[in-house]
Amino acid sequence: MAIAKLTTGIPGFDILTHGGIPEGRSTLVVGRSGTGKTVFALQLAAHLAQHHMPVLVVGVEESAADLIDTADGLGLDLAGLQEAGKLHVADLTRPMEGPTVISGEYDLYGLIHRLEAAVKDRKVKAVVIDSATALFSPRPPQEQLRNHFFQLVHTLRRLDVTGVILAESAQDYGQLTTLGVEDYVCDLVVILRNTIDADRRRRTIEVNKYRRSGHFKGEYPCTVTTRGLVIFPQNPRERPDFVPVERFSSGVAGLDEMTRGGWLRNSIVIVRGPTGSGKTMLAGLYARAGALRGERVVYYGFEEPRPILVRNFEVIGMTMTPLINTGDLRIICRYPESLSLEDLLVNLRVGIEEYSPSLIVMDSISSIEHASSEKGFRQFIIGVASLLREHGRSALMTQAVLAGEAAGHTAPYLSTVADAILSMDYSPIGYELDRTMRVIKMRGSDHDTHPYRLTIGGGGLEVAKISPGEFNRRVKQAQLTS
Amino acid sequence: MYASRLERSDVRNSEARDSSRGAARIELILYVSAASPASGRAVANVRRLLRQYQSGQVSLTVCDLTADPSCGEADQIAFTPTLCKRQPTPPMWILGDLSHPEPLLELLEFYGVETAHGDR
Repeated sequence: MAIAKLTTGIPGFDILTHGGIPEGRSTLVVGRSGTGKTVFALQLAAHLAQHHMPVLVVGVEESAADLIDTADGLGLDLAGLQEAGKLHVADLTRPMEGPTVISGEYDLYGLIHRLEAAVKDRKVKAVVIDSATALFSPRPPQEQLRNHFFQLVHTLRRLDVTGVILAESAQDYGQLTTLGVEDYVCDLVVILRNTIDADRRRRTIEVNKYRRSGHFKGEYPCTVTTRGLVIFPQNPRERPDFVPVERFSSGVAGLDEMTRGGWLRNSIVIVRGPTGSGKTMLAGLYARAGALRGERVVYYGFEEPRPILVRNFEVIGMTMTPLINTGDLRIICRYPESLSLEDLLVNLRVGIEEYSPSLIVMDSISSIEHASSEKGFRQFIIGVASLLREHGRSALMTQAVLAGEAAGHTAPYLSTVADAILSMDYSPIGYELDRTMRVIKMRGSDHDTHPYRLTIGGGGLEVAKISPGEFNRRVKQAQLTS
Repeated sequence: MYASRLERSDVRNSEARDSSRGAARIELILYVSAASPASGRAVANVRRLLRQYQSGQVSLTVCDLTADPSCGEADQIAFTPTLCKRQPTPPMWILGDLSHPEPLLELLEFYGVETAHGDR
């Protein structure tokens, strides 16, 4: 039998947990200080109060006023929920100046009686405790600590209350919690991490265990935004509807011929090529053709500042300004070094949800790759892909490779993400720079596997098939040149 | 089950007897629960310890959280038994059944509470 779960409203979390937290059981959220435990708890509390049941938040680390302030900053109206009687805050903070000493045995009945009263008088059905570590401070002997914690969880069970307990861990990896006892009695254990990976801050979330429920395994990237924690489960939700075969023009006649009618809708195209091979131009044509058809397009430029990008397109006869003015095209330029990949993902998500573009261009993903760790970049790409798939959008991404390697090996995580891979390349032939282009793969579509010649002129790119005779002549010429 | 207000009246009686002393200088609240075995021991221990001191200088109130779970809110009580010193400030919390009486004795000594026989 499937266990009863409560949705959390935390973006991505209900996907990781196949539906949310266990109802009537306790969930443990662990992490070092600064990993976003309180943010997670407040989002959860507000969502539970709004959609499911009256909630009691027990604040031990921060006063009730501070918690409400923090929630306010996240756009969560805890005060409003309090007034509506849907949420209650119990303040268990002890002033810093007042010491607490131990004189013998004690137990948890002070809190237990308050929980009982909250359930009886205020119909509370969920309790959030921030945090167990602060609550059990000073720390009693291990055996007693274990008993106290068990008593707490058993009380929540007995009262048929859904519990969310936060606990501090000393490090990101290793022993889960400072107290070392909490994870045994909780049905769901969630770990939040905030690490430094190749000079970049990286936040992740992991479902460590979930009794009687399946869940996503391993670490998933997340970020704390002004609206709270956002998680990227990197698993595209299946779009329920059948996706018909629909094509759209790449903006280049020869390329449409190569692909037997243009790109497929809902597909991710990766264009690989060395610097100067015309990737940005191709990306610009893709964006421009879309906007001219009346589609909404977002162009993310990671290589140059926006005015320069717009000017460069202007110079080669691909003016973007009228399309920007009508709102069909958005050009957003960012330096990948200046923001975290998680924030970039949030940007993309917000952009997709608010602007609702059908085409997205990212030029280039290599500049993101250079500004992050290998692991971080891989997670980013998978995150982008899952975002695009979830919303059923089409995208073109450019990737810089060394000259002569465009048709070569693609990193597995990139090639699985790409529905189509296009290679652009050049080699000097005598006096000329010979530019070529091939479709390396194109899922779900017939395509020309022969090379095409690329000419960059005043009107953008021109693509024309190279005949076998001409190709052989060029190969010979190239051999002579080198 | 505990005579919560008894000590308060004791204090008042003693004040009446010895008006020169003024109000009790140290205000203690002992939070207990009927469900907690350690609480019963704490009540006995605190009473026994305080008997050795001048009663007019210390006021003790026993709050039973079983009867009124909200009475611990003002002092952020999570554990029972907890002996809270409210006055003089800053407040102090002594957790446990006082089988180790040192924290309480040190506190009384710190504030110069005289013993019942005047031989402090």
